Amino acid sequence: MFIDLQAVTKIYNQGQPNEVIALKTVSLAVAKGEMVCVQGPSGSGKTTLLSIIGCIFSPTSGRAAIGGKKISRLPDHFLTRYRRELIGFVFQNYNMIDHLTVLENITLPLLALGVSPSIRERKADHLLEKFGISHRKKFKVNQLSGGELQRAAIARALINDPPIIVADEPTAHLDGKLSLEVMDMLAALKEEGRTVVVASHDPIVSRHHGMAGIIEVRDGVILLNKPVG
Amino acid sequence: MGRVLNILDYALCSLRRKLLKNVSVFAIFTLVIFLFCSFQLVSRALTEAAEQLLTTAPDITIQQMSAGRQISIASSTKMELAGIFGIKKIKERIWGYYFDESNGANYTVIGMHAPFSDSPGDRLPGLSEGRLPAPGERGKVVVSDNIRNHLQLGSRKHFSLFRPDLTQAGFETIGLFDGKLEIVTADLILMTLADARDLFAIPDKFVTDLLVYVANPNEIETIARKISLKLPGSRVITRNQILKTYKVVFNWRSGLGTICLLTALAAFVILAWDKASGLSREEMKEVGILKILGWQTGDIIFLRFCESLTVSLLAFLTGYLLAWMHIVYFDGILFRPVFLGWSVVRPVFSLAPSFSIENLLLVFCLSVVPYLCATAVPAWRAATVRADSVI
Amino acid sequence: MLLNSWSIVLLVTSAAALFLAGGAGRTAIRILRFWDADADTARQIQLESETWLSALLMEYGMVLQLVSLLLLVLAADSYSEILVGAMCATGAFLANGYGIPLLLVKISGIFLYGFWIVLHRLDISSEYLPLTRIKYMYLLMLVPLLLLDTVLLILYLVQLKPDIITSCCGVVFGNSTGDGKNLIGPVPVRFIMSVFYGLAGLLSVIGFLLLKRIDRGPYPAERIIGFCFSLLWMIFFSLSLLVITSVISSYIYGMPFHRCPFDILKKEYYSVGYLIYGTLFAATFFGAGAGMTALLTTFPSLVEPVRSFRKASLRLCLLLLPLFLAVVSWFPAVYLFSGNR
Repeated sequence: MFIDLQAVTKIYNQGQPNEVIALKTVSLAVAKGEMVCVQGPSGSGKTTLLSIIGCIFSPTSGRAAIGGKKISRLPDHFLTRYRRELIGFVFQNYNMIDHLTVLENITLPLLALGVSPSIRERKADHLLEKFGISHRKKFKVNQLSGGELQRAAIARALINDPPIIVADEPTAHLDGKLSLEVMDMLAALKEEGRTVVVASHDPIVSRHHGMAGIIEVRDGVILLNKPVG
Repeated sequence: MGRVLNILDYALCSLRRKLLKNVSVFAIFTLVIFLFCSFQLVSRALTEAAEQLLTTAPDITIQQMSAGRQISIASSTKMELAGIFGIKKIKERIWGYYFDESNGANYTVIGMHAPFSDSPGDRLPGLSEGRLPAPGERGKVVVSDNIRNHLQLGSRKHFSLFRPDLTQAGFETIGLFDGKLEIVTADLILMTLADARDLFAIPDKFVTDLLVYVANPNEIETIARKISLKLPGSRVITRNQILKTYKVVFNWRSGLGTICLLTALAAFVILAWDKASGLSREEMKEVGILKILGWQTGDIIFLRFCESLTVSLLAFLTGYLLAWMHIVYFDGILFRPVFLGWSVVRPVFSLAPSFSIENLLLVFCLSVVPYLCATAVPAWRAATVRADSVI
Repeated sequence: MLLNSWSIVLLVTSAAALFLAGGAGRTAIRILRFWDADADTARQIQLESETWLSALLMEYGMVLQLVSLLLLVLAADSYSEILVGAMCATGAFLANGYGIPLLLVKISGIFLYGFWIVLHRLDISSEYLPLTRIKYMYLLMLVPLLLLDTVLLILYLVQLKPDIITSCCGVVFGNSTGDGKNLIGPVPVRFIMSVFYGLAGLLSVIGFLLLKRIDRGPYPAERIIGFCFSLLWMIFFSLSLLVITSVISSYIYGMPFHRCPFDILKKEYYSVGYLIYGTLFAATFFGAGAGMTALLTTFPSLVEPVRSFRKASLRLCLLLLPLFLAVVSWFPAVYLFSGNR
């Protein structure tokens, strides 16, 4: 399995009076090239699950392997390295840096890798072309519409050519038409062989034809882990 | 290398965005460095000037002491030193201060036997016009332009000074000192030994000091030691010691100034810490985004380091340049009184410190290094914003 | 002689180094008390982030130590102009009993702090961070060294008496120990130089063999050979300082009785001292580092990172050593081949 969690637990503030068990012995398997939807209300542990899949932090206990790399109890700089290699993020609030242009935002992941400006621009141009926003490349991100922003965010997620895409509520601020467009883009990524994990309440997302399965999280446990059908 | 350049580029853009904050830090830092550098450069320039000018001083000067004060020394003391091998020549000198009541100025009067410059190593300040008094001449003097103005001579050559018994001694200026050496000659009246003896009413056979000239410069210390053993009540001073004393004095004053400026530096370092520590929500979000996109903690620390280094290096270079201009074009006007003290007959001279890497390094370590250390912890704090803070 | 710009800058740099060491030391204590690599507590996460802080402070400290060594030598040169009997920086260091110990502590500090950084970089290259406790214990052992450095500096500066004219007499003549420009007396030149070149040759051969062997994986005697290699480098370093001072410097100055290791840094001698000491310090650091890190192959997760580091270090020291030898040999060679002129 490409994403493999076995009996994973995540506890915040362990041993403290404000200890919180966000995930309780959760097990999950997602194959390479699959697209799955993670659902759950606020405080269910959905964000924690996404953070573990996204190599943002390690589980407290249990076994987690993402893209073939074991991430259990890894130091932060290893997690960051794997995150950079394996994961592309698409956020609910886009998480663009306002004072930078679209081009600069998209190429941010490549800066710390020492990629030269010409190669960065070439990679970015290819993605901007693919998502139909080349004409906005020199614009500041606060001049873009919601749909354009989300396309730019997906382009940024792909700049390192990661095998896994993690999208947190990608359609939250979009209307029905744009939501479908975004999901079609994510499904196309799945068709390219990437594994896509989407967290969303939106039925447009969970019922999308590209979706292989739904993972429902509640109170830190997975209640439902079933294929769409 | 690519990573370094990319992060440096990002840092420069980041500085440009927070222009007001960075310009204020830059301005204050430049001022602190300007003050440090000015002190250092003035000290250095004066030390170099003193070094140059002391080539006119004798190798060894002998003075007679009594009850801890200088008194006249008998000319016959020369005979006692005759046996010391290596002494080339011993000259007599009378010198003293003449207080001019009319303008409150103190003139330095030096009287020596003419001819004044009869051998190599006996270098007197040069003249811009006229000549030195000849042997046997009386009443002829060489003065500086400064003194001529203070005496209000104009085109006149004759003036009088009062002896201790209030009778007047008349003098005629026959030469003018070169303005290049004004730091030494500004208040100097040079005359023959006989004239000086007459002016100060010093008894015959006595002088104020004996000037010793040595054949081999490497033997100066040895000969000075021998003289001090032969003349136990005397004070024996070498030219090297005079120079060292000046260096110590200038270094001491420079050090004192530096200590005072350290308070300014400390205040600035605290300010820098404070400015660097404050992370706005926007900055926290930016760091969180960078972290989640794969920037390491080390990358963010390096980014902050580049920002601090850029501001401090620019401030350093600007401060140094401004200090240089202050010294060379404005004669160090802010700090000259600290080094030169008070005087009515104030020499007018230009300071031209030589460029020195050592000096540059000294000021760099006093300024940039503490600043970078102060911004280290805030840089780390900024870098430890968690990646999950943006989810 | 505290009221002097050089003294002030030395003290400020020392204070900055103490501040950095204090911060790093605080982290070291916390880590030694609470570190648990398997824990997922907020404290453990905080400690992991503090390791970055301590590394940053140590790296700054290392650079400060390098700079302060240079500052000390430049300061000594400046002091020599106003001290009794001091003809150059050597005389300034010999002016009281604290100068030479201070210099030696600073020089050893550079290698010791630098080695901490090597340990840290190797530690973070493994996901298990196996050297964490060791490196922080080592860090705590370095703090007293830094304190000693500061104490010696203060004592040295306080005890320096400038040569100034007093009211009662001139000055006391010739009070400095030695002749003010020679750090050590003459040595048996042929013997010393034979040992010097012999040892350099031995280090080159061993280094070359180690480099060739390194890709073939670990072997039983690897650690002891590595340790001995480091020891040889330390001996070579000390011997090189002796050779530079007592033999080579005279050829650089063209004066047989001027044996000063510091004047070769001056512009009059083309600042060749920087090249000489730069190559010597770097070659010793990498050579000794390559040897000492062989001891870390007991940690399975460090085998690969240590191998990469040792390979790179061996290459560097094998490049720098001949360069150092070429530079120091140039001056006597020119003298000998030009017919002793």
